[in-house]
Amino acid sequence: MTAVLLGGAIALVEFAIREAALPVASAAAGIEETSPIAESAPSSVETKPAVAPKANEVQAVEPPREPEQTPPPAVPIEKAAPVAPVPAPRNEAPPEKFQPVPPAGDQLDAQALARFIDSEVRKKLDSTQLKSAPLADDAEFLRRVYLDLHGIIPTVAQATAFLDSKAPDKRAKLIDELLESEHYGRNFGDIWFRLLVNGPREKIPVGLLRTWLVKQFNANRPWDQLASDLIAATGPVMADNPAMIYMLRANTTLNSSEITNIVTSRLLGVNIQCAQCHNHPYVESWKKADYAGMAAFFTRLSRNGPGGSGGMGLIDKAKPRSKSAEPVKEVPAKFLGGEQPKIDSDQSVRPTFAAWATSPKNPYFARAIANRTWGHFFGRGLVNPIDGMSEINPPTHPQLLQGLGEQLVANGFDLKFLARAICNSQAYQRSSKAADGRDDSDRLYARMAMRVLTPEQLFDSFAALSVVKAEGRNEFTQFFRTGDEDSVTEYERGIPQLLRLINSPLLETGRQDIVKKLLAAGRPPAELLDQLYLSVLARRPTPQERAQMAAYLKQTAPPAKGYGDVLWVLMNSSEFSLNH
Amino acid sequence: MFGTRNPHPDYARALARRDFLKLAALGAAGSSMSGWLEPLASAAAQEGKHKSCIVLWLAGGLCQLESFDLKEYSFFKPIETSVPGIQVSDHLPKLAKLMQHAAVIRSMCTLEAEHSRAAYHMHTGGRPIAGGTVLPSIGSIASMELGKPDYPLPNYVVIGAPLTNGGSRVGEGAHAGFLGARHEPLLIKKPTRGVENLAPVANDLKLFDQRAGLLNQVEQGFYKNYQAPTAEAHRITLQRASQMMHSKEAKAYDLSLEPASVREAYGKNGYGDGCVLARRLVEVRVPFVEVSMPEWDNHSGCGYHKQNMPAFDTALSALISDLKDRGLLDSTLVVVMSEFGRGGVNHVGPDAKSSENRNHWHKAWSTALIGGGIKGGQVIGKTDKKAATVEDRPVTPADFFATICKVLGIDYTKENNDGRGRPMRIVDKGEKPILEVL
Repeated sequence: MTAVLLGGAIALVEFAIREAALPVASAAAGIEETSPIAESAPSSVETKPAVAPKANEVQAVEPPREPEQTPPPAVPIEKAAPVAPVPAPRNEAPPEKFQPVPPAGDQLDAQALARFIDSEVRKKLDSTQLKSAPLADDAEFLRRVYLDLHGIIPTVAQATAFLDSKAPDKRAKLIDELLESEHYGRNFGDIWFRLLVNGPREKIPVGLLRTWLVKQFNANRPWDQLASDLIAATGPVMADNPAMIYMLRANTTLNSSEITNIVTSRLLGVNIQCAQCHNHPYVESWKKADYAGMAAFFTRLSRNGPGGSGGMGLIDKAKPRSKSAEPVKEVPAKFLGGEQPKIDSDQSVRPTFAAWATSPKNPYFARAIANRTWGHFFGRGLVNPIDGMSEINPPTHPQLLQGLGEQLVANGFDLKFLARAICNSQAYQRSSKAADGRDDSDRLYARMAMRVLTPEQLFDSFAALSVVKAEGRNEFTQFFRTGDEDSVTEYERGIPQLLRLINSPLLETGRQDIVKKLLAAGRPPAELLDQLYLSVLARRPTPQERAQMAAYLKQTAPPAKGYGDVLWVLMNSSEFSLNH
Repeated sequence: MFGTRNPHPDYARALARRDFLKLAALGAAGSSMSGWLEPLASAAAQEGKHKSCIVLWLAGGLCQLESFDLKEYSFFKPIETSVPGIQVSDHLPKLAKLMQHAAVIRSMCTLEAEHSRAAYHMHTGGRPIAGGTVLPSIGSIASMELGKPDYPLPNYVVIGAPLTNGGSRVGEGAHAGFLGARHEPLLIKKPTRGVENLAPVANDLKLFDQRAGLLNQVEQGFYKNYQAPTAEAHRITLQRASQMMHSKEAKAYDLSLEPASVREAYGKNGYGDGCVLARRLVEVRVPFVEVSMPEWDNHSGCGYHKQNMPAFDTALSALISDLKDRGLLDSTLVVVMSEFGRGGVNHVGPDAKSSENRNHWHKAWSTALIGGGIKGGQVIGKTDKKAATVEDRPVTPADFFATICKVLGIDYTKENNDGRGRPMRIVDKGEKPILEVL
């Protein structure tokens, strides 16, 4: 079966990988020395001296071409959008190497960028003759945009207000409203906190970092500034200076390879961890020297606050840490795929790195955040995996990714601007119902992908329904976080998670309380059912569902039990479990 | 070297393969939208050669000097065993009588000396990389390779109370990684309390069935409009949970059904109960169970070992005898292991003789394999007179893993996709399984 699923190119890749030494293979092949009684014995991986940077990796900017013919109108079912001029695509063929991302010459507003998104998506769809799904109905859109922007389902009042509104621009208005709410920052701060701090950190006040991130996102701090802080933060850990916290451990810092993995994957959209141990077998550009060169920006860290105060903080020392503390051989610091900066040895190298990382010279930065943002709203990146930017894994829509990056630069790395543009696009607002039988339809955005609620979305939505209490969040989300990484288009729940959802006495008590309150209000049965559907699924029941439920309720007594059963059913339905 | 200029579709397909395999593993019933609560297709003809594995995890680090590899510096004394020439600690008197079933490996040689990193190392064979790929543990591999798709119970179970101080935590390193949620272990914190939330709301299975019936109707409407692997996977996982609730095999989790005399024989403490539960699960053909015993992180002297070894000796020897009496010993491999050993280096310094230090030591330490059809009554490997370095037959995690796989009948050369398009061999190349025990 495996062989059947493999394409020729992948078979080649597999062959190449088998021939290369995998990290664990090299570890197992010979016994390596580790510090005998060290509490934290790091991997000791040998790296070769750096090779000279490839001169051809950063290519010159091509002059923009004249705008292309406007795209054909969308399929008839879609609301006819006024077709606006779109920025010039730079290059018809997928780029062999990632190019720099200069600010767009032609700065667009969010609505115009939304139209650019749709024209690029449309081009690809036309070339594959995929039929696109109709626009999502109001209820689908409502629930989706709440989950994506706020991480929770809407309340009954919010749902009713939107569903009953007759305003023609109510979707755009709702997007604006959600972007201005404090829940926006809470949601994205929480997401970025998890991306940076992976797992528990003993004795480190990680909560400060989360709170700070929430503030930054709510203030819509330009992404390049925020990222610079994350790379270069120094000094004592304080409530207003917590950006370095993700680099800290109880008594030390993460080692340079761990920080390199986080920074390249999260901020540059590039996963080079394999190159730590061997030249990357399927991404030809990444060599061990690239890895060591990147890691060299993070080898001088000391967890002490400045001035030898002994307080918690992060400073850069003049010399690299001891060999036993650093797994990567010391080489001169070198930008990823770029040059080797001149640095005085008594100077912190991280600000130099931050300046390069967030500049247009770095071909990855703007693309990475554009791609990650896209992935957040669509369940997959234009480059997928999200941190999988490499030459042999080009974007599905190269011009789109380039355009998003350039517009982001031109708009001062305004993340709300990007979110607003995406949410207003028809691509985002398409239904997730199957457009046709093809399994690549969501990859090309002919329909919205079906995504599983993240553990946080699930818990926070339960909390919004008031079936759980806020203090259980950590335990709950850890219990539901299975598998090795967030992949929202894959179902990662197992039997233990399902058993909790269907049988937990705690959830049952929460449900009974809701039903009790509803019944106490003395509303007619039809309204009760509306309330349950609106609160859990953000929509009213269909006539068929009304009939189904009425029949069930009729044969079930007392009413509290009947409605309790209905609530159980809705909360365990696929529709609730998925962001559709 | 890449023939096509734009290999993207294949690359993407390789990534998506994980979904395919996961769904395929869920069984053929997956394609039917109706009747999701009905039991899945009846079990395929059972193979004659079913094997299970029980890992006894001694969290914190069992000292080889006080258990299987006694030296001049040991606190405990060596005693003779049922196998002439093999000596073990005088704190393992019951196990000593059963040595004909055991192969002791005295030459473990591993790469990690910190608890959580080493726990991961010993569970996966690889070394942890922060922000890197999470490798599947041996239990998840067994779940995938030995678990039957239509089996109503989880195929990988970890039993043990959370730790109070020191050492690796229960279930540390025991993750499915890129094999996905289906192969995550089911964690049983307290053997006497069984599976969390297995009992339906109000203990009323009829109520559950009623609700599930209504849910089934509601789902039909949804599936008509939306087709996606995620919706399908939700349905199937729900079905498996429901199947477990209804299954007679789930009674294996109920320790109250075990005669008091049996629990007495195992020691009637948390650890003994965990071993009884492991045996009950193996009896109903759960392929992989790990029982975790805390508090072996004995940095100085041998106090913890003195405290722990009677319970360990009692539970392990009762387990071996019990499995034997039930005709299960040949089909059940019992593995005794920790994250590393202790001592070693401290006997090579200026204060060699005076030191009571028993710090973490990963370069020469002991594990044991029992039952599972292996050749018992033997010792593999040899250490120096301080149990500090291996003198003969170093056993790496890859060697150890390959051996376990061979005993269980798992083809460890098989490759799994790591979710990023990279094939990962179950055991990495360069492995030298301990053929002497086969």
